[in-house]
Amino acid sequence: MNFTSSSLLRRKKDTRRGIKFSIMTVGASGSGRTTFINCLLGRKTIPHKFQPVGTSIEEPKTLSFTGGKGVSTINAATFEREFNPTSAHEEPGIAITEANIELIDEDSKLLLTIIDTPGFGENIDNDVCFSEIISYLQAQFDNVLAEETRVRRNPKFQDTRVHVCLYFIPATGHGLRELDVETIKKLSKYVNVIPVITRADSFTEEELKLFKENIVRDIEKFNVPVFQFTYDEEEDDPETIDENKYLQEIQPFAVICSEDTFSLNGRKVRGRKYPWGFIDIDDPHVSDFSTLKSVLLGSHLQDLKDLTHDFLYENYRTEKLKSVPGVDEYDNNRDSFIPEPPTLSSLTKIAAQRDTIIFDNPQNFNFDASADNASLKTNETPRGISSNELKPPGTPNTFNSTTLPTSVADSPNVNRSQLRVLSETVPYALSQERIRKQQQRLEELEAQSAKELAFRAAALEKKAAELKAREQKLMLQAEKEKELKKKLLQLQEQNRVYASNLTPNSDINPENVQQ
Amino acid sequence: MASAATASPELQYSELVGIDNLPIQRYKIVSKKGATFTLMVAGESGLGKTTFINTLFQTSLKNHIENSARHQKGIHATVEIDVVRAELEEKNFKIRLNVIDTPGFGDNINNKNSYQSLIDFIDDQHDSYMKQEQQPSRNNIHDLRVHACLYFIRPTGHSLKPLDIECMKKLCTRVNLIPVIAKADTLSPKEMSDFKQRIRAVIEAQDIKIYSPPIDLDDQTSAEHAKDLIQLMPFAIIGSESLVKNLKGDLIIGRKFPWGIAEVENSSHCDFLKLRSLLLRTNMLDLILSTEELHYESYRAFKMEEQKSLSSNSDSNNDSIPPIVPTSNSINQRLQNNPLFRKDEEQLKNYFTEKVKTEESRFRQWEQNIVNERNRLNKDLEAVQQQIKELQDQIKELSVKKK
Repeated sequence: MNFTSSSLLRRKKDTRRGIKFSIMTVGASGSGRTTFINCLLGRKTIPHKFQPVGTSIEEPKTLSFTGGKGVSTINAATFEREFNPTSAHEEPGIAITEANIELIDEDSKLLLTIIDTPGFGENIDNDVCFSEIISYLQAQFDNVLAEETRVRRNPKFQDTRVHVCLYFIPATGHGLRELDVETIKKLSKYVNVIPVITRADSFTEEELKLFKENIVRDIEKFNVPVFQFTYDEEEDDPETIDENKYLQEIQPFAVICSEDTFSLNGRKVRGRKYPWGFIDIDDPHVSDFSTLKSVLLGSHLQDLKDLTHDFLYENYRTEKLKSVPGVDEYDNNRDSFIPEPPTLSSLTKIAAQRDTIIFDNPQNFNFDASADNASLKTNETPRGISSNELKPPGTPNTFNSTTLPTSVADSPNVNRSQLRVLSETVPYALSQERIRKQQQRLEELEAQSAKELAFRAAALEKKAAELKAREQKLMLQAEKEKELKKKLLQLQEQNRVYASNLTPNSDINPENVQQ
Repeated sequence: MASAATASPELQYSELVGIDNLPIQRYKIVSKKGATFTLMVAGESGLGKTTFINTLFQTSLKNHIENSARHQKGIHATVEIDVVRAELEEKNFKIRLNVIDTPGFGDNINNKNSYQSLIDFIDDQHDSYMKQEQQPSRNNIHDLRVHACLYFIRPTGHSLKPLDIECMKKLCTRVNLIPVIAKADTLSPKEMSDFKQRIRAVIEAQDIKIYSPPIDLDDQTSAEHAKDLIQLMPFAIIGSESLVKNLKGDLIIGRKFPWGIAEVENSSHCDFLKLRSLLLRTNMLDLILSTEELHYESYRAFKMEEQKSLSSNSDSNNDSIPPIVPTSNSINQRLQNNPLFRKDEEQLKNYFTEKVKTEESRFRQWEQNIVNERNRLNKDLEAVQQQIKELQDQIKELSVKKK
């Protein structure tokens, strides 16, 4: 393998500070998770099920849990620490616990984090298990994502991503069960899953061979994405190729674990003692334990870490950021446009555009957006970013494209601006998502109210028209009345004339008017 | 049969009439008729149920499921009931053997109600036997009542799972339940004794009634034996279908590991011999009788009671004969009591009520809108009327002025 000098340096630094490695163990109770971990560490570190609290070296602390039905207040981690036959029928739910262990050997330090999942597979309905584990894994990725993109980074930030998940397949001798397939499928999006057959001492050699074959066939058949030991024919040295080939061949690892040591021919050996024989667990002929140990803590430790960071985390990040508007559009339009730099402005612009739709007044908001940009510019200048990248956006053209007509195109700092886009897009990614949701809701509300307003307005206009019509009618009436009055006056005049002529008949005239 | 032989007639006369031959006659009749024994194996898949059956009868009664067959069906397993019939003959005595397997139990993500099909099967057998018994001619009764049910426990070394407890609780009221720890070759003696102790504690605390052989106070040796068996519960077993050569060169049934041979028929390795003697040698009759007397009787009593109350409710005036065949009523009831259907029903109900609620709220909204609209229109009308009035007033004024 060829390292660049900088990565070598970093690795050296890492070893001084200690290499961090995080292992998650998933498997049903009784599949030997605890024994495996203790065996891996070479001492009795993690407490066994039903081992009383306070008697182990390391007390795992619970990170999160979902209670089973009826025992929502009880955490599966504590639930399993004491043996209580009267409540044994209650579903334990699932918990996620963490134990930190330092392994020091030959002046290199390994900071191991063991994430355990007590309660997995124990429930009658195991649907809760997935969501709990997956949300935990996602949360770790989210933390790193948020930290990565922060302007001011936290020097004490702890990367809590899980690098490898050991899935313990129960020794059925048949194949994978529905639970196994579903779990591995779901987890492998966030973590490297290595399936492990524990309690391999229940198989004879032929049975184990058959079981492994069945599992491999099931993995192919159901498209279960487990960790692959890959190698590059051209780049890797033959030793690595051989090693990986061998590892790929013996997968899934079948392990036998034990915490007890026995003295055999004067030498201390870890093993299991049965009435019919003694198993040395470090014997590679009977158990893949030593192989798996060297894979996990030696040969593939860095691979697993790199894969987690470069592949799984990267994928997650892309997916996560793609779901944020603006960034997504940036990706789509990458070829044709130089994207506008900061997201905050794009955000305000989106807001402005949304508002323009409703209020039909773009000028106002355009001004706001540029003002925002200016404020951002002042914030950013100490970090040495040329201001010509931060040209205020022109008139927002359409709702779909947030990219600018390329005023930035002739700028020499194209690459830098692209980088900036990435680095500045992300800080707001998470908050933006929230904002987007809020905006959506607001938009809906606004649309609704606009509709209502329009309806109201229409109704009012109708009313107004009606009123006008009525007024006109009234006016007409008034006019008519006026005319009538005129007539009346005329008649009265005539009457008077008549009256002056014939005084006794003066009473008739008002009646005439009435008619 | 052994107990029948021990009953010896008292000797009062020197000449024997020959009644003492009765047990022998009985023996002849019984051996001619043969016997039926039905054994059920329950438990998660991959615990060696099939292997155990084959080990117990030392023949390959059942074939293992091919892995490719699993692929065709898809990963989601359904609990099936698989009946294998066999006739075994030993020293001219025939036994008709029914072995009921339950593949697919506990294989899924959600195993709720997966024991329902086991329970249904057992109840169905009781039901069908009852029906056949009530027929006019009942010579050829087809009897599949389960005499013993072996429940296989995964050798976790911890305790029983909630699913196990739930299932065993349901089974123990219907059948002779014998819990066994499968694949005992993965637990060292210390782990095994801890595990057994915990299981016993859970069984006791959860009120699960497991089968215990009767202690015959008259017979010292058999009482000892029974006590022995009770103490060993739950039996830890190792199954194997192959013969291997041990160090001495003898062929024995066992499992050959690189580190040694776990012998099936070795009491220091597992309890297989004890379990076999319980099932076949000493307690088979007791298992059959207790099924007949205890479980079937209680089921029958329950059903009769139910029918009586049903018939008294539905047709109190027509009290000729109680219905021989369980009416559609009882089937309906069974369907109603099935948790699966009940869940569906509940869901549908919830859905319905929700729908109604949303519709109602929509209507209420409409109503509100209409009322608002009306109020607004009324106001407008008032305003208009006001205007008209004003105009009229103006007119009046004008007319007054004109006048």
